Amino acid sequence: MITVEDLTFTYPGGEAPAVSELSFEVAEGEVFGFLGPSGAGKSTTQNILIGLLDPWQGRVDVMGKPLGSWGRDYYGRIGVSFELPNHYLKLSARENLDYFAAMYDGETASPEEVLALVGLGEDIDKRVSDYSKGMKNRLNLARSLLNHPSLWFLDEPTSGLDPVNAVKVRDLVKARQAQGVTTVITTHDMLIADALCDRVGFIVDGRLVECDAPSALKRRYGTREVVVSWGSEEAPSSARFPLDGIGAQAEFQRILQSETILSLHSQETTLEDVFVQVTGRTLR
Amino acid sequence: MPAARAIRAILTHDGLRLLRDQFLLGASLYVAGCAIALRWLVPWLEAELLRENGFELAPYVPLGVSYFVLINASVITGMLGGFLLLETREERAMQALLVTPTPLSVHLGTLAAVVVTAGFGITVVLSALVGVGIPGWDAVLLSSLLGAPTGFVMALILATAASNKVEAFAVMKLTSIIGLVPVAGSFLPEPLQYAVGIAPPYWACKIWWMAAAGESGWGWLVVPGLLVSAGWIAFLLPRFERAARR
Repeated sequence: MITVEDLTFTYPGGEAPAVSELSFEVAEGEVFGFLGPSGAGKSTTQNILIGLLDPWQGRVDVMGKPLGSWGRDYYGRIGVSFELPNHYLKLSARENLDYFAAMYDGETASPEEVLALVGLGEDIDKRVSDYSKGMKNRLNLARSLLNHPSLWFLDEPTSGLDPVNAVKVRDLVKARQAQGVTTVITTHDMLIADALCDRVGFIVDGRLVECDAPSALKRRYGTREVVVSWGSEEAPSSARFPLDGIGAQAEFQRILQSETILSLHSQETTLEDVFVQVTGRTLR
Repeated sequence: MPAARAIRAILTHDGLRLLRDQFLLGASLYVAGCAIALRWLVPWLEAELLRENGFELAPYVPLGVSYFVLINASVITGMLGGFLLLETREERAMQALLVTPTPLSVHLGTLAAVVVTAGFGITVVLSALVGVGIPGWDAVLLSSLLGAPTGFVMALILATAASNKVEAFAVMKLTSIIGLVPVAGSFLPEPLQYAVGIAPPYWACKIWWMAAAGESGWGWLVVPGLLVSAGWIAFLLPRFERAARR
């Protein structure tokens, strides 16, 4: 669906490239996530892919064609949900969506249909100026689905959302994936990336430093150990045991059978830990 | 036709946004208020100045009326269009519009058509309303048509130079000078006076003044008038497009 080779872009007046020699592929129907701290080059990469930034160097093919050879029809095939709300505040959600729907040539979804998907059905006639930040972000998502896109770009889709609505967004992405939609997510939320993405790419200082499935990354960078604590709360003892062959570990068996266990934790790593290990940076 | 659907939506939604903004609504009523006031104020002032000071105001009436009718109508319609355009940028809706199949040129073209048509129509209506200091209708129609693109120039200046409404008010103060330039320039001798023709409304005003003074041969002023407006628009459009992508 997307093939990028040696993509490099420098902002006008910028000294260093915002993205440098970026290469990756996104398969059809895949949910691909760009992870990285603020200013790493995630949104720049997305803005290049949606045709808002040029000139860039390298090769970018989207939906079987070089990006530069697409005309305005490209926007009939993709959906874009930006990180920050972008709506006419004096208009209601329905008026906003009617307006944006009129900008498309083909058949579009109704405002009722897309607002129901993001849980804003009851607020359809409320002016957007009266919406909370989370509601505005969900309206961004609703608008990006108006044209039934086959390629969907989401920039920080759960930003400003409460946990319930974040789960709704996750389910929405999964549902679209089941319908064959390819999704590119830009985020620094490791939990949403772990839950949603088939593969993630770590971007730091404009460079892609790692790219694989979250489960593969966690396996590769995680520690296959169990930590056991036992004894009294005042003076606990603890020990580490490798997961491999743990059933044959006599000491581990002894502790389980004869001691008072305080805690027992496997040392699986998180995507955030992997990121820190790979890049030496945190995501904030 | 897909563009027709987009244009209908732009017109409807811009109208709604205008009606829901007290400031913009008030500004659009300001021009009409000025015209109505002038209709009664000018004859009274003319008579008073003549009686009290022996001052003959009549030669200056077309100058003043052209400012309040011709220049104000296009500047105010431009300001309304500029604020709507700026608001689209400020609320980041512009960013969302850029990723739809409808190009920015359709939005700007629609705005230009509305501002020019409204500027022309309002000037003609106000001219009829004021009734004093007005030249013949051939000159009124021509200068109204020539002055109308000034509105689009104003809209582009406002939406390009300002990035929010607070800045827009500062820019407006600056651009109001453009409206006064032709009036001030009228006191200069010709051909030095033509130097102020860099301000787009000058040429429309010049037609107005010449026709009101009973002079002929003002038809050629259409050419520099159109060239100056086209030059300003050509200068501002790429700058606005760059600002829209920021």
